[in-house]
Amino acid sequence: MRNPNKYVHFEYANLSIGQSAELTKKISQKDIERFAEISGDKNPIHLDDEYAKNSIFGKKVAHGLLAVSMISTILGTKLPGPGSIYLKQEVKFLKPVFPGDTITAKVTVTKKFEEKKRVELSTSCSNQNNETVLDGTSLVQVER
Amino acid sequence: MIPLLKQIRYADIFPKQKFVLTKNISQKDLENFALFLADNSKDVRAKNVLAQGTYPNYLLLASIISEILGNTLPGPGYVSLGFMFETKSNNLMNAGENITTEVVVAEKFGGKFLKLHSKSFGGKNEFLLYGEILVMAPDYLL
Repeated sequence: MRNPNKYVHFEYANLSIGQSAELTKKISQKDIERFAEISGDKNPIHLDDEYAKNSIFGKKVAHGLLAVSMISTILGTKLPGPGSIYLKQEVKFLKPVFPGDTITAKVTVTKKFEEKKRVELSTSCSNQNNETVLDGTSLVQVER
Repeated sequence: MIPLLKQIRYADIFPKQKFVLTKNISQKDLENFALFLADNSKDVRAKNVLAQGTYPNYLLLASIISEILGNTLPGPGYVSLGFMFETKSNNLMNAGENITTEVVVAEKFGGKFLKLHSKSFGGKNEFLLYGEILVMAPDYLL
């Protein structure tokens, strides 16, 4: 049984507009291979040097969802944390993520919906050059 | 070199073209996803993510859509530009269920762009996730 005290966890009443959380991770080729395995998306643009060399990016890139997964991790473990339910995600991919990039994902509470105890959060990921690689919004159901 | 997966050029894609994939989601699949998500953070454990229970693992459902896009429609060479995924019900998903995902070409425009719609259903055909995806389709065969 889950023990909410063990993890970072915010109930609806304790969330405030502007509250944010971040997660930074260096994306390795191993991460990309693991993601291809668990997702089933084995597009060679993520896995095959020879194929990727002739692609629009000229080299291998990470799955778009891999960066989005960092947002999911923040929502599920930091802000709002365990007990929250991911309802909606909108994302625009602005730049590719390459193996070896260091990605910082950030979520910020932008709106609270009192009646249904939901929060909207702005979501973004940037690389080591401070370039935004994706941005969007999330809608999450929060524990009362 | 990895064998080339099915690839469709922009010119060969047509509106209402559809691909449907049914995949059995095991407890191991759920755990692998949870482990992967938790591995993104040094200070949490997979158990934390698993604690979200049996609500549909949003990212797992999205990854099946990614599998269709990357492997089949439009397949290798496509570039993902953005998406919107939304759950529209409180239906739950359990280990062992067959998840059916359909991706349909909604619109072609600009000589290279596709808008696709997706729907994900659980083992009893209950609705789980709706999606809209914008991609750039390949205009060449590799």
